[in-house]
This record gives sequence, C-alpha cells and structure tokens, in this order.
Amino acid sequence: MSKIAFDRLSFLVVDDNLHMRRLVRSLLHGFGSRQVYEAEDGAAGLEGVESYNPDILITDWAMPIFDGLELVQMIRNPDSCSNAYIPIVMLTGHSEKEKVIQARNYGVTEFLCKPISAKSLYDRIFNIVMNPRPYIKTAGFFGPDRRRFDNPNYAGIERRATKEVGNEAQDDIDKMFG
Amino acid sequence: MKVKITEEKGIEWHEPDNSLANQVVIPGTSEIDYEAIERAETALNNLSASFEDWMQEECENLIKARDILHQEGPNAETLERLFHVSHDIKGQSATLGYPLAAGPANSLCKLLYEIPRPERGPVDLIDHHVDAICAVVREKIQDINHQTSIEISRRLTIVTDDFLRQENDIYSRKMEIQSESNDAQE
Repeated sequence: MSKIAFDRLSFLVVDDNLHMRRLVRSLLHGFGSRQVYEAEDGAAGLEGVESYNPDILITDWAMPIFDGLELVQMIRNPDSCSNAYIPIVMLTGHSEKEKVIQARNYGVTEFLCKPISAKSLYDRIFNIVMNPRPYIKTAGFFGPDRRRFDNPNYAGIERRATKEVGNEAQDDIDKMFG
Repeated sequence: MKVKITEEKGIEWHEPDNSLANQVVIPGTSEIDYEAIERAETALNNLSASFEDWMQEECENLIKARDILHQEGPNAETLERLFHVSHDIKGQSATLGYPLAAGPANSLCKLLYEIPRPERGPVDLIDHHVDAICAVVREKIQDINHQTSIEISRRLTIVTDDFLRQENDIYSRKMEIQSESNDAQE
C-alpha cells in the first residue's frame, strides 16, 4: 500500500482554452503538486516538454493549427525528442471509442474524457505512477504497450508489431468502457 | 536517462529506469489518497464563483464565431471555428455547472464535424444550436432535470441526425454519378 507524493511531480498542461487550463491547474494544486506549467497550443507544448522536462504531460486534443495528436506524434520519436518516454494523458471532449483507439495508436498513455473531475484525473495519474507499462518500438509504432491486461492464455498472432491495435488490446478498451 | 532495451519477435521493449513510482511513491500509506481528491474538489469549488462568467465568455466566443459564419457564409474555415468553440463548451459545461449546455453543444459538434460538404452548412440549424446553448447560460439553468432544455436538446439531435443522413445520401449519389460519368468517358 502506498500513495503519491504529488509535491515531487511536475506537470505540463497543454490546452488552448484558458478556463480548462485553470481547472486542471487547480485540481493538480489541490492534489499537492506545485510545479504545473502551461502551454496554449501544440507548438508551445512541444517546446515546454523539452525545456521544463515535466514528469507528466496533460494535453487537449482539439487545438487550432497543431493539435494534441500531432503533439503526441512529435514527442513519441526517441530520435528527435529528448523526453519521448513522458507519460501523456489525453484530456478531450472526444468520447467516441474510435478516438480512444486512435489516441492509443499514436502513443497516448491514458485517455480522459471531459467533463473532468478530481477523481477521474487522480485515477489516471495513479495508474501512470503505480502501473507503468513498458514502451514498445516497432517499424510502425513507438509508445506504451497498448495491451493493459496480460492474458497468459493468449495464443494468437503477436500484433504489437503492427501500427493498428490488435484484438487483444481492443478487449482492454472494451473493459475501459465497461 | 538509462533505458533497458530488449528484443523479442521483432519488437523492441524499452524500460526507462526513472520509474516515477521510485521517485514519488510514499510507501506504507493507504492506496487511494481520498484526502488529495477532497482537496482537489475543494480547490475546484473555490473556483466556482467564476464559472458563470467563464460560461458567459464561452457563449460570447460562440456568438462571435456564429457572426463570422453569417458574414462569410458556411465554409470549412467558418465551420471549424464554430466547432472549436462548441467542442470546448461540450467538454466544460458540466464541470462549470451548466450540464444541459452539453447536449446542444454535442449535437452542434456532430453537425459541424460530420457534414460532408461544409459549403452546405445549414445556417438556421446552427443558429438554433447556438441559441439553445446560450439560453441555458443566460437563464442560469443548472438543474439537470429542466424539461424544456432536455426536450430542445433531444429535438436538435433528431433534426441534426436527419439532416446528416440526407446530406450523406445526396453526397453518395453525387459521387456515384460522377464515378459513372468518369467510367463512361474512359
């Protein structure tokens, strides 16, 4: 049994909406974190990842010009980004299952649908800290292992090497949606 | 940062050694920190005095985007601008205390995102969505059981789904005709 020392965790919040940034900042301060950086678009977010070197990135998806998904794509490139292993929470109003799958295929660690609450944000951060997943690099993918739950009886094709998520990871997503 | 890399069946497994758990976990305490969640809820509550102003600002942004649509007509750019604002409202309205603004905002997002030809954007239907969202905020409707708002949202969703179905049918038929015409020319 253990709990998180939030005062040792730093965050970067990327969202073009000032109100949403203030909401997330307040929640993180409430948890106990004091190092919360902000960026208002994907380009500033990428710069912030390099310069602040935060422990966790929380980003919106829909932003003008350079969106959250493009930001994830730029970060999940160990050859060009110095912080390619940073855990990423995609915080978005998109709630469709295909969007969750798309985000995971780009290397998002956790997906959080708006409206945001203290509990839902805490749960994602808790999962990142307590249940870290190894990263996988193949020709078409770099990011956290998309298979959240190991099935020791699985005897099918190894799909981790493919860009698209396999059925076994699809099962994980179904579990996430209840 | 040191990363342990192993390879198996053509897949590289990367395990960075700076696990956050090693740095920020306090052992020997309860697993879920309910006090931290409560503190965050209190922090959110302390902000709530500003929520009405924030929602009004969001509505002002929505009306500005709608005014540009009226001036320039429906096109990819004017609809995208409206989409961004309505998407923000869809995501925030419940947290900001106006949950019934999310229904028409969601329907508006769907309309703007799924319309096959932006230049055929239905300005009247968009106006009805904008008016419905702003009415929830203007009238300070925070009760999730407010029947008039629920009914307006339900009807907007039905009309939007119907409109998108018709537009997609027209678009598909147009594409088929175009394809047949191209085949005939070849």
